[in-house]
Amino acid sequence: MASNKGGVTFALIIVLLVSVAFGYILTSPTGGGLQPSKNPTKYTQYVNLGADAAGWEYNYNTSLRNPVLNVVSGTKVVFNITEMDGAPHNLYIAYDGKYTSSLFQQLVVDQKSSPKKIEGSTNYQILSTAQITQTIGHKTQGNYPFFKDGIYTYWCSIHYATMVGLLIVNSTSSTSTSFVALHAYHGEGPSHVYNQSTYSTHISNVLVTLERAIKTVE
Amino acid sequence: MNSKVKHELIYSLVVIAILLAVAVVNINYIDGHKANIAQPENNSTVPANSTIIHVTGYQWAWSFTYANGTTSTDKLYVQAGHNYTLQVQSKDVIHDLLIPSLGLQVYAVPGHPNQVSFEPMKKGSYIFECVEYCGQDHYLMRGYMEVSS
Amino acid sequence: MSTTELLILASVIGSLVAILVFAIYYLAVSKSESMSLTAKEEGYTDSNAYWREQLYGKPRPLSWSIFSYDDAKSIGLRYIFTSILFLFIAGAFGVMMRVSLFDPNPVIIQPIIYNILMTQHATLMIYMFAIGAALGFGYYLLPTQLRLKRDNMGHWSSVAYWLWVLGGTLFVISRSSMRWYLYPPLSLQLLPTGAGTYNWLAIIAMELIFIGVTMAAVIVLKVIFIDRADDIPLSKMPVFAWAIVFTLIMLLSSDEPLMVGLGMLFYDFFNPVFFTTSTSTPLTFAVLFWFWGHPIVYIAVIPYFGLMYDIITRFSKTPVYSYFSGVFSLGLLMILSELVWGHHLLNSGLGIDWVLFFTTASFIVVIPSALTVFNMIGTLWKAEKIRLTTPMLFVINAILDFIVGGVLGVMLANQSVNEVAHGTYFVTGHFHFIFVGLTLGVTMATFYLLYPTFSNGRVYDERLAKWHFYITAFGSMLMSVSWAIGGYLGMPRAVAGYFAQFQVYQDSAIIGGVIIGIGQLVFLYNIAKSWLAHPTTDPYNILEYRTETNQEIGGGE
Repeated sequence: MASNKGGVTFALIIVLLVSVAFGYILTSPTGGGLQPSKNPTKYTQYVNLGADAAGWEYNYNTSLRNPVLNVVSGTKVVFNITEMDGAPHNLYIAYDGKYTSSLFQQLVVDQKSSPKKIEGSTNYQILSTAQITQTIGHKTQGNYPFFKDGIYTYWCSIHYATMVGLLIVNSTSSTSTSFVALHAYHGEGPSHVYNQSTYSTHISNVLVTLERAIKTVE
Repeated sequence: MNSKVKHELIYSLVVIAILLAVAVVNINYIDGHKANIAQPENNSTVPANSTIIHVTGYQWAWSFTYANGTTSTDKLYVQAGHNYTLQVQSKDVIHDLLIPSLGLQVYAVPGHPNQVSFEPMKKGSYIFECVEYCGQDHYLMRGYMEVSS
Repeated sequence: MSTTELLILASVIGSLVAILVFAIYYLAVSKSESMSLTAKEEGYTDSNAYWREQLYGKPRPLSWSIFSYDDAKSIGLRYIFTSILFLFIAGAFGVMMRVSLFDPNPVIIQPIIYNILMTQHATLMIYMFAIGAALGFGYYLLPTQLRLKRDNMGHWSSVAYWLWVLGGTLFVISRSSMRWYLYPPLSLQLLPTGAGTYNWLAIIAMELIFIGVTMAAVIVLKVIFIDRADDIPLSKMPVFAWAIVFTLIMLLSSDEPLMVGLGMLFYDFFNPVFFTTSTSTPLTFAVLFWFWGHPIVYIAVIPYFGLMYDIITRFSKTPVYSYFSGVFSLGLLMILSELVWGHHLLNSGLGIDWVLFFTTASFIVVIPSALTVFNMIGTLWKAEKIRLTTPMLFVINAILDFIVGGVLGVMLANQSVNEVAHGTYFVTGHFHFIFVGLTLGVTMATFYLLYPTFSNGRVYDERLAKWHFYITAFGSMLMSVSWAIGGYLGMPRAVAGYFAQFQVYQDSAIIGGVIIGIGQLVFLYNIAKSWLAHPTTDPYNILEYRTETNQEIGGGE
């Protein structure tokens, strides 16, 4: 480099190594793994949910919180999300395999003793905070095609302790409609403020419903 | 004593005088606002007329439990003109609750509960946020304090 | 991409890397063979010792051979140019972070990637750029400034350098997102959502950086205290040598707590017994960290004060206003900086008495800083004529930025302000004034001064260099001022998104950050372009080869 190319060589090395480091960092894995399948879907179902830190409001009804959704496999579920309280929200789904919901267990039951958010390889972000926005009344739409049977968890990663529910995909359903809201929470009090004891009752109700649903499937 | 040393001495004395003045102001502030500075949780040092609110920080939201047993997430409901004491703990990693409009800041450290007192004066909606980096959605660990009259 | 395609791609890339590594290995080995042959012919058994003697006291231009020789100047060049490389890497990360914040919600990059960029930017800038450049200038300038009697620790310096580079590289590879504070419960979460899946690697990388830096620090201190020429007493050393002495003593006396802390943290990955049990608190680690973390920010400043004194005396043709108080205040800064670490934890429940102690101590630190500024301005005041070359402009801007950043820092020492501004962009604005204005600015000033030596007698383009200065100074001012104002209103730092009400401060800071980035590209273009010209000046530069006039101008009265 004693020649007159020293500066150019150094500049090129810098540009090269900066690009390598830059590309390396920008391609870091960010979770996910439940990429939607591109196969054609048989049915389309619409679910209206209000995003509220106290719980997902089914059909924007503040007394029907965190419903368990029952879906026939091969259905594209379109989530119509409306921002209700101005807090940041997003919508994730996770799949734990057939008829197990360890994630739901971790999210809902264990969180009181030690809250951990498990983001394994099998989750997918349907709507981000940027899409839902923090403008009250803002409406967004996200969809996901459900093919594999099993129990899915849907939740908001920011308020996962309160905004979490189940979505059960079932291929042997004999019902004519492909979607049933099995259970909804009958809450009390103003939004954002929920009663601790009522909430525990709600969780046990959900678990009972879940067991019943699994039995039906089997 | 030559003029250089003289100038330097005068300058140092002026700087020290200013610093002394600011330091005295600071010491006065600390002395007069002991309850408003974050300190280890201790029920005997809570001001007499103060209502205790239990605050829990977790990845990535704040939950507030009030005296009547109700809980709210990412919203803090208080009344103007009342004195409150936040008893802050963390369930996972270190967080730091900041309410800029009140000048109130307290760390949420796992296994080391802290407390701090404050008194909202004006009705309105104010921001609060987590200011100690705590993982992926640290930036969403924020919300509004609603002060009712 | 199918598995077959992936395998083909992997094998092609693997082969290319292997060929490249072998070529580098072949070149290095044949070079060292021929070097040791020459040394043997001259009757030396240790070829490095022979070459160190051959190169002693001569100017060293930049070339690939700096990796073969291990005399102090080659080591210095390695440190200087590696730290500038890391400055560009970390700077690119910083600009990317800025740009991604143009919307209140993260729309360009995922928050996980933002957090990785933030961690890498901070750690690389401090450990690889600020410390690296300080050590580099120490290695490069001190041998000629102090006319070394001997230069015999080259092997050790080389090992220290490679450990430091390895640490920095592994830190990037680890994709850590724990922030440079490394606070335990978070740094122990080996998840992309916590500290990153390979955070254990980042802890090892930090430990390697520390080992390298500690070794180099001991060697440079030995060079200053034992190897300097007999006719240069301590009281006649240039201020820069004193600044390096204080910096390195400070480094050596405060990095052990964190080295030990990192070891304990690493143990906690497997068996959490130190920081996250029911009987311990993660604040223990925070104390260990800040016991080092406060001095480290002075390490990024004090050596550059030394360089500023040197540059000012060169271009104003005046001795330092008061050599004694200049050195004395740097020494005082060293001692006091060890006593104020608690002001980073004022709101963590240290207890009221400690809050009182640390806020008051933080005011006292201002005295030596104010004396330093006074000394520099005094030197400029006494000067008959000041030559406003590019390095001088950078230094004057550094004084200005240090005053503004310093005043913001004193404000933070007030508990009432600290409760509002701690953890907000106010703090970021405070230290970016000093790091961009002073650390980056003085590095660039010194680089321009040494450019003829580095490039074997070529001259940089004065017009481009001036543009580099004006762009950097303006961008830094715009960015830090926006941060300081936004931060005072409660804009939190280290966030991938923010309340929409802060958008105006973020957007103006983005403009500032991008402007700084453009300024550094001008610098890079200037190096490349000027190097293509023929040498027109002699490579002996005014910062080094001036031993006869040394005493009259630089040191003492």
